[in-house]
Amino acid sequence: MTIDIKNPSFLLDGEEVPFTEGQTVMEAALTAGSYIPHLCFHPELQAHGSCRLCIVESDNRLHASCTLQANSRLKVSSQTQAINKMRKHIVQMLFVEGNHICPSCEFSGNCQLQAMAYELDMEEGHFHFRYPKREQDASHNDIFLDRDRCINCELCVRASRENDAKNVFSLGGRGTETHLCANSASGKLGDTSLDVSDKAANICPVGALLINDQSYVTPKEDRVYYQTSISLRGNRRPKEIE
Amino acid sequence: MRVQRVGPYPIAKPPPAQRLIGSLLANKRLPRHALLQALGMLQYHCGWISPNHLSDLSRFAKLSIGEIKGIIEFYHFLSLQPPKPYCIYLSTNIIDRWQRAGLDLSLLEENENVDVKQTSCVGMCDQGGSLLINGLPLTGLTQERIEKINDLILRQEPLSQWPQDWFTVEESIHVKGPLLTNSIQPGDALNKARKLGEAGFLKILQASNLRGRGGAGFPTHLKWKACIDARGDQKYIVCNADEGEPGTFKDRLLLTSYLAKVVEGMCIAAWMTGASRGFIYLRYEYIYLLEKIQATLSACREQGVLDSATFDIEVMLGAGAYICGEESAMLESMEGKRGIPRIRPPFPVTHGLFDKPTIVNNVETFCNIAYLADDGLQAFIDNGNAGSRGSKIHSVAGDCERSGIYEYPFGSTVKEMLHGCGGEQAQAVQVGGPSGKLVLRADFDTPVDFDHVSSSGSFMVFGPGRDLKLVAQNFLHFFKDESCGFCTPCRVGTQVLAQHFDRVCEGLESQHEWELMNDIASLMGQASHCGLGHTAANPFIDWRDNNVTADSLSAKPEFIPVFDLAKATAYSRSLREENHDN
Amino acid sequence: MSLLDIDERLLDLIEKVEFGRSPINDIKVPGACDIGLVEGGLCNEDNVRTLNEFRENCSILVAVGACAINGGVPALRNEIDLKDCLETSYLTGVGIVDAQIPNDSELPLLLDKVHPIFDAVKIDYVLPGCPPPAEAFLELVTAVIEGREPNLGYQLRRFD
Repeated sequence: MTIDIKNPSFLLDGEEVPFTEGQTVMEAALTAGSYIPHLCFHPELQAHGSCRLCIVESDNRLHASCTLQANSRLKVSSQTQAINKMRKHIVQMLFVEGNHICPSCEFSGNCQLQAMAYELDMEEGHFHFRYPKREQDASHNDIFLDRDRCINCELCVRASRENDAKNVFSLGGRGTETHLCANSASGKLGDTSLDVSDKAANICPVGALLINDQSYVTPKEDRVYYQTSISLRGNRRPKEIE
Repeated sequence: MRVQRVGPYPIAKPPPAQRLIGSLLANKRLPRHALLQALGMLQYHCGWISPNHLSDLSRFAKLSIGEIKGIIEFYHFLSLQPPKPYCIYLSTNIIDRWQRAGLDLSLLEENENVDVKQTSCVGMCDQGGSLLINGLPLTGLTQERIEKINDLILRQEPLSQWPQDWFTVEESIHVKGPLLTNSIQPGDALNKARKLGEAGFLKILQASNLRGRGGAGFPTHLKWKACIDARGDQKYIVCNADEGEPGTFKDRLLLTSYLAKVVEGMCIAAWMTGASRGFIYLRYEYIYLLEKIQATLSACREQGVLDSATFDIEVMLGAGAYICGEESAMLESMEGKRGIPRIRPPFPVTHGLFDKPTIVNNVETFCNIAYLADDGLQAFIDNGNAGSRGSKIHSVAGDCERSGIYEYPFGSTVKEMLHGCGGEQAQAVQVGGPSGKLVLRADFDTPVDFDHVSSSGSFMVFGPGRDLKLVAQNFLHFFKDESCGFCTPCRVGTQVLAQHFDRVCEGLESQHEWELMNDIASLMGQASHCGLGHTAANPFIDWRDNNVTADSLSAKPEFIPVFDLAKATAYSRSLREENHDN
Repeated sequence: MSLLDIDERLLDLIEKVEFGRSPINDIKVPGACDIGLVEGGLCNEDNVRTLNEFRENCSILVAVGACAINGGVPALRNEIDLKDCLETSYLTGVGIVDAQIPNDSELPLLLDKVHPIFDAVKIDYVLPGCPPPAEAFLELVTAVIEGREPNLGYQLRRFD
């Protein structure tokens, strides 16, 4: 392969993906229309690298593609059986770690975790369910925080800091006790400056942060991932698909 | 910070925050990076972070209480719960458990004046039964002493009135190599390095092939060169004294008795890179060393080795988190945040502490630098072998006659080391702690070096009667307790793996269970964010590879239920029986 | 019951299969059987006994629906101690008259936690959904009869 300095590209599953200086493999792939599964990545926010769904193989090692800098020498594999099996296990880990009861969740059909499970042919939890006890927070007039469904992706944390200039959220605890905190004296969401129009309130990939009057407004059939898989739709929120 | 003994905790009348953390405040403001230091001091002096102190901190640091709580919850020595007058921590490390075997601690557990909690290894594996009380180590436990402790706690006798010899940590060095015998006149190593010039000493460093002693073995000259080349108006030198790998206590010795040498090594790093500030990140478990370290640093200032105009060193305290031994997590912690490993690259050498170029090296690595500068290249490379030059200090503990410190040239075999410590009977040795490797008797000829079995300095000896399955279980629980929780494979994987391995230990292993564990181990090893996750399944993998064959696996039942019906219905059965009794 | 949603195709199916124990025919003790479809999580000892009978008698056992797969909504009680759960529901909760915990010997003993059926027996196939789409049942049963792997398309693998 010759390296075109003006129009550099790398190989993703054998296909050339062009990139611009400073882009990560994830950014370049998404720009080129190649989907790499992910949950904690958002193009407008700093990369995080925590969910590990975007693992790709290069040089016999796995990397998170959202933090892997693109370069012309890269040969990256993403859609292999082995990697997708690992991704499926990661999604299963997220399911057994929290309390993800899809039938009673308002976000079902719009949920990116659920969509990822469909995408990766997940049928069951595979590991033992933990059924943790987690605190809910209904103190905010417009927004409900259901920690049962939180996957610690920190999208809301980052959106609040980077986009809303507010710093409403942070993580507390360690290990599997890690949990989302509201940065107020009481620790309650209602005592923060979070507003329904904030990016942080409209970025949750699962049903952990819900805007109160927006649940069940769309019938099942019209929800984001009812007809179409996440690899075709992309990681989208309900409002982003109209 | 003064480390006078605190106990009983001043629960009724806690000192005002300002008095305890005044030295950290500038114009009534607490700089962000000083937050963890402030929390550590409040914890040490009060036994918890009280709501009053929390709101003081929130005001001083201009951070919300919610956010500060999130940081407190990350570090297990920091507590938000009102304390009892005393707090005891017992190490969960397998060697410490064995050292305490035969001691009945129920007296203390039932004593209402003391909380008895658990923590990971406290670096006292060579001290007999030991514990931390109100932050300080108490060694050489006997049943008689436990009873006396219990009385003192009942009477709420101030810790300063307790027999002071209980608090001594005796260093027992059994084999001294060049590192532990060489004595440096203050400033000598730095002067000798200076004579060679920066380029000259870097060449020596490269020729020595010195590799980091913290476990990863990264070539020191590459790290230093990268930091020297990095652009930055300010650079930092950080000494990693967060000796957290269970079974390791060699840095404790170096900090106690060889700190001048460590300082000299840091000074050389500062001179090479132009750094004017250095830090020692000390694990909270070693808070008892703080005064001694401060005194040595003062002496270095008097001798002119350190001075605020060119290069000075401060101590920063951790607060209980194994992950902070990972260099980028340590930097986060030093900045007053939760100790989550950073995304790398960029590496600390270009974007380190406060985003400035930073060299992070282990305590022992800095010692080696000083030794290399003082005694020269030839003396240094006379020890070890081509891939692993120099010598290594080992913390030897467990089932052997003489636990303590041993310095051996790299390439010494496990057998030689066992001979040295009177552990010839061992059935296995864990080299490099839980994240390292279990070496079985058949492999005792294996050299301990970077090319064979690499070590961060922990050498745990397991005698013939020990159940290695329980050792693996202990290590897996250690990782479960210490995973930082950032990435999915490690956060969930360590939990699930420990849970499944518990079932193996109960004899409830099925083929199905093994398939799950294999999947988890492979995922954690490949897909985790940092080294902790990559190595956290090692105890399982070692156990599996040493004990499970295709034949033994196919002989196991295909499936075993996860729960026991009798146990699961015990409560509702008891209700029914109550009913009948009425 | 969502099996019935396959409507008139049930008539074709019935040509090929014979129903053992089911809510339709009320047979209590099943005999040897090719396919067992099990819905619901394990909440009490009777559930466990029934599941074990199914496993012993069925060549292929299928977990049907969210509750069988992950405990579902009943598993929401798993984060609460059973004692607290019963006391709040029957003794101390709001609006309770004649407070007592139901404890008749006719009632099956409750398990301390609700378990997915995966926790008790080996499961061969999974039909996710609440309930699973009727088409999914048909495809699974047809595939098993024809001796091939079932092929549940995107629309047939739903968690809600």
